[in-house]
Amino acid sequence: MDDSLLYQFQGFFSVGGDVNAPTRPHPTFSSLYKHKRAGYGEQETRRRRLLDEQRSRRRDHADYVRKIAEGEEWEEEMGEEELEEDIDPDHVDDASAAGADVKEGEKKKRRVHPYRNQLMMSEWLVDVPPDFTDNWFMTVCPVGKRCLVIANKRTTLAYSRIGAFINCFPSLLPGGCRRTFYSPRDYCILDCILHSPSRTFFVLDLMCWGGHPVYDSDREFRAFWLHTKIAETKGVGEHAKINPYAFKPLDSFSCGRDPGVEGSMAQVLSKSWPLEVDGLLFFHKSSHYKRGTSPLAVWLKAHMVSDILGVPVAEEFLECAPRMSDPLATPLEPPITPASEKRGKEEEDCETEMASGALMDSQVKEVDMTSS
Amino acid sequence: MASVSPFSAEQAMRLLDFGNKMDMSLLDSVVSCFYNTMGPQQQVAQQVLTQFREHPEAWTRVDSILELSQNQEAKYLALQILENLIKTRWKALPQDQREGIRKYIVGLVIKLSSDQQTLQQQKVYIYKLNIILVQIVKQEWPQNWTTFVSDIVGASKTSESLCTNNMAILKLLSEEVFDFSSGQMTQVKAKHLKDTMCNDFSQIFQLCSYVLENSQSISLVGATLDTLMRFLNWIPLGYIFETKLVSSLIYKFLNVPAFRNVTLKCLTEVAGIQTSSTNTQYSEQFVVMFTLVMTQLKQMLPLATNIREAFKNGQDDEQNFIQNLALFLCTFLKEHAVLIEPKPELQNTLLEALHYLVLISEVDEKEIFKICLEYWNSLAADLYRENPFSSSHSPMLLSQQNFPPRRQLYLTVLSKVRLVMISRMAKPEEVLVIETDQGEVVREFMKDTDAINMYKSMRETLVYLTHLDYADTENIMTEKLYKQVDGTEWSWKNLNTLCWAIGSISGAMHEDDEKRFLVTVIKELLGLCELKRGKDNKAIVASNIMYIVGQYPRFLRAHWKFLKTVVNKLFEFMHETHDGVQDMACDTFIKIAQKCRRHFVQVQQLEVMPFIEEILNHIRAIVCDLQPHQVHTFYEAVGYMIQAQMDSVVQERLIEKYMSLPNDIWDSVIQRATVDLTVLQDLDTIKQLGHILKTNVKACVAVGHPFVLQLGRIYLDMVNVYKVLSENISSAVSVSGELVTKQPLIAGMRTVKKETLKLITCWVSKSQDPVMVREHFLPPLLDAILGDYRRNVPEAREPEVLSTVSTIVDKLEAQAVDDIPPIMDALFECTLEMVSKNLEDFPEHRTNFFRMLQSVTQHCFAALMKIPPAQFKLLMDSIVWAFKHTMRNVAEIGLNVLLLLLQKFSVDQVGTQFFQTYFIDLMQHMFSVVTDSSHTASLTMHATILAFMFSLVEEDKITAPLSTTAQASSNAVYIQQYVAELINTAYPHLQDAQVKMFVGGLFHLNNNIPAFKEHLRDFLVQIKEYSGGNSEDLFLEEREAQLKQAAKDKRQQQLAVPGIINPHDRPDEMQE
Repeated sequence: MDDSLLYQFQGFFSVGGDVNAPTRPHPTFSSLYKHKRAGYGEQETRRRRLLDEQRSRRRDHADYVRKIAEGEEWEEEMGEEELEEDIDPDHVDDASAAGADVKEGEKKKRRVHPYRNQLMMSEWLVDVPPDFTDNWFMTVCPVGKRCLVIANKRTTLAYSRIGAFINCFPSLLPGGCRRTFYSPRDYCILDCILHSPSRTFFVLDLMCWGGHPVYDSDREFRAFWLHTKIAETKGVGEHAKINPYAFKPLDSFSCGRDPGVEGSMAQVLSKSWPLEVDGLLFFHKSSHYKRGTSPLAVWLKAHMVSDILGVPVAEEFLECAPRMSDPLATPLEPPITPASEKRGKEEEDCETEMASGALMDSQVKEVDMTSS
Repeated sequence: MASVSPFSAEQAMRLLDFGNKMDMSLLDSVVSCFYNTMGPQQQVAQQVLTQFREHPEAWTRVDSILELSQNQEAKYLALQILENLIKTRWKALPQDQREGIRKYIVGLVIKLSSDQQTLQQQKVYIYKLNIILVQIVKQEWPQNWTTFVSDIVGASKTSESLCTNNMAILKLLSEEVFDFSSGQMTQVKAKHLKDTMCNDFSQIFQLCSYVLENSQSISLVGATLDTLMRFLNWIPLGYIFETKLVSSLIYKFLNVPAFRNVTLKCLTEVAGIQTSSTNTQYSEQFVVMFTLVMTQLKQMLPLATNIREAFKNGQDDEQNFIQNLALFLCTFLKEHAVLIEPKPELQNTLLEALHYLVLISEVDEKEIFKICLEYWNSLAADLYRENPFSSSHSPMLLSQQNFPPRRQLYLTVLSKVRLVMISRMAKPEEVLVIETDQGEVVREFMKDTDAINMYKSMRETLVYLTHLDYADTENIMTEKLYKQVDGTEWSWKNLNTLCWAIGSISGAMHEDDEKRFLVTVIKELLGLCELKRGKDNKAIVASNIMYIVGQYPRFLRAHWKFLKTVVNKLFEFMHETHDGVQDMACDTFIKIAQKCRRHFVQVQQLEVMPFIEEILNHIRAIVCDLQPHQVHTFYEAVGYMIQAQMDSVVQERLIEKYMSLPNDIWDSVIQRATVDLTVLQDLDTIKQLGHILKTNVKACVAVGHPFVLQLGRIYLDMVNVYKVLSENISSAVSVSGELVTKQPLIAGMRTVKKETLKLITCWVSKSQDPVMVREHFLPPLLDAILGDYRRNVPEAREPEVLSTVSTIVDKLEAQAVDDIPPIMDALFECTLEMVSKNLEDFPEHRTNFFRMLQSVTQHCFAALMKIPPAQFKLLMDSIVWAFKHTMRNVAEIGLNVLLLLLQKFSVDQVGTQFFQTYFIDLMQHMFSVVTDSSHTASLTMHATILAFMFSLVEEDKITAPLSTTAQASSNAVYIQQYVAELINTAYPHLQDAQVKMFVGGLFHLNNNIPAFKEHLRDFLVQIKEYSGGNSEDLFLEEREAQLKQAAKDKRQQQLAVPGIINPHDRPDEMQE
């Protein structure tokens, strides 16, 4: 089989276009590493740029959170940085050429779905930031379904990352049930991971509490605010008829490399974890909450930590975090030794595979030549 | 429009007084009130008019209405009355009255049609009169109106407009006799009329020829051609081929714009005449016709015409011409190309004809394309079958010179046809997202749409074409692919079409060629995906790549690393938020899982474990962004892989791991419910249960019997949850009424119940161990679910309970005999009560109930015998009830059960008793449905059952007398008398001879179902007509002769089988 087809298929075939998206194999760990292309080394550059932009641009989020809480669709000017990923100058033209329905004026404005793509999504951690130990936090993410939780007008709603309705229930979050409803402005918006068997929402981040948006606050503050607010809201962390799902904030750990320090990343990774672990999420202390993917939120699977960060991970921890192999992580061609004594029982299989592979190669070259 | 003058109800009733002269203006105002107003007066008008129409004397008013009424609608009313009279009671009228009516109508038609202007103005009215006249002709011709043909031909010569209308009458007559006679006339009568028409045709033909040669009137010639067209499919061939007809059609009319369409239709009729290969009498004429038509065509429509554009910009008439041309060419070539192909001098003409067809195939009109497609399909199939490639050698070795000669001829055309097929390949399958009654959004596959049929047909054609020259198909596809990449043909629609085409020829190429081709295609498309900007564009390209990959399982199976890469990429797409990408990923995944399932459970080369293990390790992460319906698809897909694991120990471990995600949630719900039952009244929990059970159902569908491991794990809890929820629903319904079932919580509970039953049904139908089903799964079911069904209020009973029981009985077969009594106890009477109040309520319960009876009858007949007589009577009543339904599926099940019962009882000792009690009754009920026009759709089944019943009697299979008075000498005689009496009472207007004939036929034809059915059909025609003692038109002698012949044949057949005939009835050769 022709390997270049596999590389092309595995590496560059995508709809979203984010090469660092965690739904794809980690660039360093897949065999794509060998095929590294432009675009990989700049994660740190993008982080710097984003931090600068954060400082210079503050937005009024009051109206924004109201729209999400009320579930209103709205239109937004195109060309804004957050929307960039979805826009392409030639896309609209292409679509109209294809006879697809393109509404007048779509070029300038785009409808914003109140629940779709509202969460901040991470990238793979590819370039380790120079200020990693000082300015970053780590959160251990349990296995579960990522969702947007909105408490408003006596009820609580959960939506999936893509905006599909999941659930509707009461909760003790401000605005989330009759008892905690004081004013129509008392809504909450949370970024959670739903663990169904234990009926628990693990709260990853906080966007709005009691009507106060915190999108433009630093991650450090948001984490603090989240813990404080949950702690002072009696019963929200417990199961009850009025609060059928428990809300539990996920802890943030410093990214210290010394396993002796209590609450450091190194210490957490040195022992087992009480829940099944999906992966590790790292936030820059000063990152704001940004919808869409952000290089200031980066992701690793537990087994990658020792290679990327150079921090040892204990077997006990790894056992809580099952791994998926990358199809291309194994060498693509079996090492062929000319010596005949190496040939074992797989001889025949190997031979046919190689023969057809060789045939393929020559034929593909032919086609390539004619096409170029 | 006549104004409506007010009238009172009393006045209106005067219309029904047939003793006095009719007030025509009153009728006019009543009629116009009925058609033009609303309100109480209109209702009075309706009542009066209905009564008027049905009055036996009404027809006596027809002439005065037609003469004097000022209201067109009143005239139509009169004609309706007349038509009804002719159809039902014509023979009952005295001879002179019939003649009077006939002469009146003929006179009226002649009067109105003699003048060109009235003929135009009163078109609709005259059309209706023509129909009446044809109805009279059908009754009177030839015996009472021997001169009809010469009359009409003679009259035609008086004026052109009269002749035009006469052509219309002849056309109608031809249609009535040859095209629509079935069910309208008895078989003998239809045959008689056809024969008469053929015999008298020479006069008609002379008239047509005369008109075509001499007339200058466009409307007359048009009408004549139109009429001629109807004749062409039945007239003796000599009229067509031994006259100047064809050449005058081609030379005189084909190139005249006003006539070209109808002429072409006539020629198509001629082209469609099938001649057997032995009958070459007219071969030369066909060849001549083809060459002449082609010569004319080239002048009318130059070969260089862009027909696609011409069609787009053309008028209706021109568009029809293109369609008719397609029909002509396709019909001719399909039937007679064999005559043209061997003649070298005609090959060019043939190629020109094919060239037209290729051009027409490009026309953007579905119906026209279908016409061409049908021909291309038959041509390609024909050429392939004539010389199929063996799969042992690569077709690459077959160079062009080696093509068989016939294929050589079509070589260039076929290449163009390939391009057409590839450029317009239809959509393979329709995916729809729909919302169910329970308010859930699910995907449903709409089957058998027009588009899918089109796809099937195009796919087949393209596969044949690929076999004929695979390299050409490949070249065209690759060329078109490059044009997508370089942008010259890029559009979503074009890309989709091309990729559907590429996907459609999977398996047609030799494996190595296919592989090389596929690698090129995928690489090009990957490049295109990278090249295109915007998620919309990328998503389209991506889904096309995945579509193609999914279409080539052979390739995937041969290349594990690629297969794994594809599947991992699909998992990646399951997190993509762009519209439709997740659905596409799940659909492709299940498609691949089904086709390559074994490869996922084996340890592949260079792998440490089977890939299924990796999937199960990460199942949570993979499905976390999917919506419920997508999760279900995903689980089904993985289930197919697990099903392929043959080692049962390994398989069990896989199943456990596979179901652990839903089981965790299930366990936690059950745990909480054990503590506090009100948990099961929480909407959220109920929804979760529904979701989990659906996942189980999908998994079970895929895994099959081994799923018993999982089912056993949750079975008892599931049945208990079912019971609790059912009681909740029941009490909710009894408190708040039936509407409460639409409320989300209750609807959710019903979903859980339905899914529970679905899961049980699904597993039982797949299980391989009936003993296990009976011992372990049936008792809790009987106890909880069936008991619950009986106790529940009707609105809370799930119809699926009945179908679950059917499935169990079908699986256990005779082993279920002992379980039938408790099952019937729980389900029979309470369901019967629900469905016996009327014919509509609880439609699902209805079908499922009768289907359950069918299963029980089929497999547990012995159990039915043990039912106490009173309950058995109820069962028989319900079967009769079933086949009296107008819901066709219910009636059909009822008839099937009845036939089954009759067959079973006919070979059982207790049969005699059964027949004594029910035979006569059943026969009576059967006749009542046979003669009910709302049941005609089931006539075949009626015929089968009645024929069986009559043969039982005739062959003396029923040993005890059926008659209670025991007057008849045998059952056969008794039944004969009984049926005759039954019919005489129900249809007193039938003559004794007719009845006798009918009953005789029921006996003579009972070994031949199609003839028996036609016999019934004839009877249905007869009961509509009052013959009034006049039997000359019934052809009773002819029919009797036919039946005698049938009886003789039947006896011959029986004699041929030793022992079939009672030795006492046998003409004994040993007799000295």
